[in-house]
Amino acid sequence: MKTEKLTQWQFVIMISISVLGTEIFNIAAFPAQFAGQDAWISVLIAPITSFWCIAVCTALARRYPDMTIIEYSRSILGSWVSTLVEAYYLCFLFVYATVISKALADLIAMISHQLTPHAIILLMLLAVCGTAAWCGIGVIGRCGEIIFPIMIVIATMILLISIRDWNVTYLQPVAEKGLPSILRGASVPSGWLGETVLIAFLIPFLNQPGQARKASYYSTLIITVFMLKTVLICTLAEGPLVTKFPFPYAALIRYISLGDMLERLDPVFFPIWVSVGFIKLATFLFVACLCVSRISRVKNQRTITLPVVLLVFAGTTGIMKDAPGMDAILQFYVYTFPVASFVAANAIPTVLLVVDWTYSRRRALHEA
Amino acid sequence: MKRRNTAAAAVIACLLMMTGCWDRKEVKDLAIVTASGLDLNKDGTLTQSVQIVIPTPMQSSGSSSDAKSFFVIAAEGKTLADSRQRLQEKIHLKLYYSHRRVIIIGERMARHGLESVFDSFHREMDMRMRNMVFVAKGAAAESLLNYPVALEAIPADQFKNLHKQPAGRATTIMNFDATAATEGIEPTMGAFEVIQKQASGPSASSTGAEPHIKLYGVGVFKELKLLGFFNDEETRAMNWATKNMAGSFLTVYVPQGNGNVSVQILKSKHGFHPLVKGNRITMGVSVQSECELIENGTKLDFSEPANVKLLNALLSSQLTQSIAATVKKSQRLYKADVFGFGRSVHAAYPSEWKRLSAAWANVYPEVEVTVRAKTSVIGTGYVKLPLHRKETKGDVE
Repeated sequence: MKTEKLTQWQFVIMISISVLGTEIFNIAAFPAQFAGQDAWISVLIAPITSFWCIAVCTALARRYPDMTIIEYSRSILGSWVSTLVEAYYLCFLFVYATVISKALADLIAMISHQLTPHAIILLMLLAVCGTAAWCGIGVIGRCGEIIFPIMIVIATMILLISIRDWNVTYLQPVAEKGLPSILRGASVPSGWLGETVLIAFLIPFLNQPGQARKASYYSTLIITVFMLKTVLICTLAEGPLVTKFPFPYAALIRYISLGDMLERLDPVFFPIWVSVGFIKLATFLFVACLCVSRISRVKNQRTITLPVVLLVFAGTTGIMKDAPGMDAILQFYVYTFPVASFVAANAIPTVLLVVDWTYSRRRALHEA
Repeated sequence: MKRRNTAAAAVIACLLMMTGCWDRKEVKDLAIVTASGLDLNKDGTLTQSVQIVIPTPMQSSGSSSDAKSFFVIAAEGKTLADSRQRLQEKIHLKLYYSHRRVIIIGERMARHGLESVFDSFHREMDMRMRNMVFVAKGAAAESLLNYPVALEAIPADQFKNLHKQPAGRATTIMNFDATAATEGIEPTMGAFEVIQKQASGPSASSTGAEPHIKLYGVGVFKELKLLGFFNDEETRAMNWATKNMAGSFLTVYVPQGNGNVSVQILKSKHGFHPLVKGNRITMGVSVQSECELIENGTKLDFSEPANVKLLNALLSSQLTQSIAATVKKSQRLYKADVFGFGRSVHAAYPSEWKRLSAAWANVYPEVEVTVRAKTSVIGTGYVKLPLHRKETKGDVE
């Protein structure tokens, strides 16, 4: 099937949004749990995993152009060992899509639709995102192009309006708890940055695959700046309360006021973040479908979109029924998430690259 | 195919028209709450009272009738939510809390502790962290809400605006909680009192005669329990030491001129300079301000540098004394670090703070505080000398 190609700009936006979409609301809470007021240092350390992932994945993509990670893992490891890798990515994408849709549905339910049953919110959410995933990568890219500039404007406005509520003493003393807790604090944001592994699936859709590395580095930069900004304004305005809100950024948006005249700005500011979340979910659903189609060697990706979306729906309603509400997701973010992302974004691609490099060296020596 | 497209378009058009109206609440179905009051009853339950605005069309100011622009209802309950449910039983419109601005806490409730009631303010969606919190000194919060207010369309705004003065402290719930959660500082909350003064004179029925609300100062809290109050003078002294003051007045008696002089503060800077040596903690409090002479009740000519120098010294020592007295009160009487000395020690000596933090409540009264206030008069207003005075040289002494 011939699909549309992404421009570099669309690619940058898509990767940035795929990380920021759900992250932005609770990013400030996690590093602060461990690093306290030094959460912003944690956020500056976190992108290391992302840079590592990008370097490795783009190196692999250069060796195997026009292939996703599923296909070149097959030709590097052979189909038997590769099955493990494929299964891992399948689970990874499925679980992440589930968590994203759960987090988004919870957020929508909490901020605006308290009375609507979760299943209906979820159904509508997945209907929209599933349609976008069915239509293909070009549609998601163009949606991103529209929403991303609005997101930047809104984020800047929130930054400016919150200035009067800043209290610099909340950042003192700097680096109090030492390096170990700062690194521990960096683990959760690095888990989110590990989602940049989506590039291993999306590079073949880029119209200039040679520029993938540069574009991905730009996305990481955008993500880091956004994270830093969010963590800083949340810490400055909320101080030690940051760790006590499930969504510190949402709490901040509800708190800010413009000169005592304009308060309660959240109905204006929340929808844009929710729509960013939509794009993130659509991207994940698209990549999940891509992964399934490549594993099962189905030519037309659209045939499996509906089953995948239904599976995600079933998973979201089923998985987190036992542990109610946000708690299950918060547990997931702190414990499972950093490790799972590290394996998907760093461990597996690095192993693939090392194996491929050794084989090609040996082959080169053999021929010489 | 064409028929199918038309049908699809019709379905979408119908769906679009159905959006948004499902759970609608019209304004006429809402009772908009602008302020809440919390009081503790003797049997341990709490009373919540809510001030509800009566929406009236804009009137010309000439025809001010006696009709109040608000009314207050109250209900008891075991928790805040419980009392809200009982409140709702008393009014047929849906109580709408999203536009509340002010929460007032009765003194008994505040002394009992706010831990249990504050939780509800964070959890619920229609609760706003920007609500201002105040404590009612020696009165029930419900009575405070009931006092009439002149010249204010939204009655709750008076509480907020009164406390924006230099002698007040307008604290949002977010600020109060963040301060309470920070190590080495105790929160304060603006306080109101009720003046029962009977006006003597012909205009006994004017607003001055009735009991009314007056800013008192701040309530001092420790572990979310009210310990006591600072009056307006002490609150001003505390604000001198902890934030940038502008617009406040200082009045000092000048013995050399046998009269009082008032100055207006143009800007001020404040700073804490902690010094930890073993178990001995000294805290330097420095305040620097620039002010302008606005009232001269003495014979002195303040265009003379010598007189300005004299005034500067008098102002500085008065300011130093009042800040030192307030610090002493917080150390001796309340043992509550409302100035945030502990936080500045924490920032400057993070390693020492690990040792000090646990027992800071006991350490704080022992902290040696030295106050250095420095005021400099930089202007004399529009005139040099009082205009009515004949110009003579050598007015000093």
